[in-house]
Amino acid sequence: MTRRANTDLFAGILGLVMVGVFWYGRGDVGHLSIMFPQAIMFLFGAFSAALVVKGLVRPHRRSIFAEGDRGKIIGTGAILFSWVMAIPYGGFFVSSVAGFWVLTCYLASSHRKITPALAGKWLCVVLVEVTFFYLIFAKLLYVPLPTGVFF
Amino acid sequence: MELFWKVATDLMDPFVFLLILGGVTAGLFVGAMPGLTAAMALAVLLPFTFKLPPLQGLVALGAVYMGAIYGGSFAAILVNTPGTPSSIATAFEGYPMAKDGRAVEAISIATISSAVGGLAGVFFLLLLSPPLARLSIKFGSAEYFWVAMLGLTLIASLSPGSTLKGFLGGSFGMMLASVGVAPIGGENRFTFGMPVLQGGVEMIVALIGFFVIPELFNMAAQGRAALAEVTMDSKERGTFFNAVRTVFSMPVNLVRSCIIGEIVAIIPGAGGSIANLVAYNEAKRASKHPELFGKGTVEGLVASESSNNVTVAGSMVPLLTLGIPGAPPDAVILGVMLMHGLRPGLDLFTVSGDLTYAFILSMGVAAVLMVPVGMLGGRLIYKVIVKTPHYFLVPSIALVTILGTYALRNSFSDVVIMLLLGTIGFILRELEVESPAIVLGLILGGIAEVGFVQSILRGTSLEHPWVMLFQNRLSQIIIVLMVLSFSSPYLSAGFRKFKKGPAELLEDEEDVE
Repeated sequence: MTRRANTDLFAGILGLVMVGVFWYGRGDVGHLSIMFPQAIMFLFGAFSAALVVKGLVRPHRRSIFAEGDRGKIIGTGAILFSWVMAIPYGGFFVSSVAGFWVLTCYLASSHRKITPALAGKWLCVVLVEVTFFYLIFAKLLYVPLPTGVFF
Repeated sequence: MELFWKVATDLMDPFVFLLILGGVTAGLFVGAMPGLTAAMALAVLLPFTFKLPPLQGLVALGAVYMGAIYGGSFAAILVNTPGTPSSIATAFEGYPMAKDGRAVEAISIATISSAVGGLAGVFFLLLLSPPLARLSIKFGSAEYFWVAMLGLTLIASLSPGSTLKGFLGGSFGMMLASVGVAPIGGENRFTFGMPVLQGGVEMIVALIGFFVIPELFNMAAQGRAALAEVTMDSKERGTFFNAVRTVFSMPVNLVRSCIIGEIVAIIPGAGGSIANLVAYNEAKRASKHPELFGKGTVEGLVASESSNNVTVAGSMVPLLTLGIPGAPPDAVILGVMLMHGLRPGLDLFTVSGDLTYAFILSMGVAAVLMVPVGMLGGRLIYKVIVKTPHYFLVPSIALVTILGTYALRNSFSDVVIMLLLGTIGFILRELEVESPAIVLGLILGGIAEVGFVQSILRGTSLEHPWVMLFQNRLSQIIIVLMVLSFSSPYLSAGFRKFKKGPAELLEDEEDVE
């Protein structure tokens, strides 16, 4: 089911929340350092408030997150965040092989049945691809990639 | 003359030639993938240029940009899905041609038109940049402040859907730009007690997040199963010379589209996505057979493809002279220039003239190389793209994105920031707050702040220091332009109201605020 959301109201509220976050984080700084951000913060708040008012008076509605499978967006986001957050512990190589492989299997699961043999085959492909990029960055471009428990 | 020989020698370096060839091919590859924009192509391929000297890095990225804009036409013609927003109008004519069994002809015409457009963009860049760069030395702090505000107003006015949301995105970007140490006061702001934020939000990190992550989420949600490709007859021959003849048989359309492309390119934030539609519309208006548009007309295809490739070099006019990107991919180029200590302005054409002119001319070489790469390798590249399942494509892009973001400053925090900003960008995009407005705000925020604070400081002897912002004639001209661009959506809505009846107006009401 797709619901049409009042995007003006949501964008305005989100804007006001962000203004609140920036206001809270402005710190105790001198006039020179804060005068420009303060002016922009005021404008940001004004645009957000105007969108809230517009959303209440003459809302613009459209379907949001309507294209494709919404579950896949959340799932992909969760896997991507887990992949990145695992890097300091597992190291770049191990985390990336795991993250890449899990994401591949997850995205493919809605299109075809994932058998252990297929997952194993894909793991080999993932290993080759991650190794390729790992070698380019670590050995050719001399980027010190994060290491973890293994290497 | 000395400069000429230096530039020529630089460009004749076989490695530079290989970089241009590789850049065009890589750009074509990414641009041909539906949904992946030229900005994303540059952001993803950026880390591969880190270890290169400034000229080679810029040359490679310029070629990627040129290839990506052209690559968008492949998906537009064969799948009816513009590879990049710059090829929307290409799909209007290219896909009907392909369905008619004229896919190779459509691609050949798009190739020649793109190459002509690319060369025209280089010509405009060479023609317009030096005088504008000389003018830029007349710009003081107040003028830079107003130019930054003008850029923001323009992108907000041009934002699809709602001007107010364009401004919201721009001001959010400006707030992001103020995170970290103040450029003039020198104190920490908006760091929330996190030392990693003291260095601010790295522009390229934000660019990668805002342009790549939302696309990854979209690709994951949609899959690629819905793409209905048109088959290309690999035995079709003799279309190349016919295409050359066809394109050059409509010189007025070609020249008009190139000029439209350049005018749109100079407007900060506009770029190929607007140029191709405006040029297509003008081609239709000027055509003797406008009723045939949308049914596979060559005129529309030529207009769209020539105008969008003009914007590649054309949009660098404000970038190289004033430091204001004409289109989102230019922001990546700006990031690379700043990384190598190259500051936009007159110095770029005098002190670093050899590098700048070699970079500009390399885009001309890239435009020419698009012809063999597109005609010979295009079909192969397209086959690879169509056959690669999305469940390998999404993680592959994620891998390169994570690697590239990390490699910028060897910072894990940058990867987390990139992912967070990308997620925010995705949510905001669903609410119709577009990423280009946020990114332009982020870039212009720094320029605007320095201009604003310096002007106020210069005016401390006055009773009202802010008067300094309005005193100069050049500032006043820019303010007038800003007011005009700010009010243009409302003025055009008022004009439409005046022209239309009440019934028609009801349909339009939602577009205007």
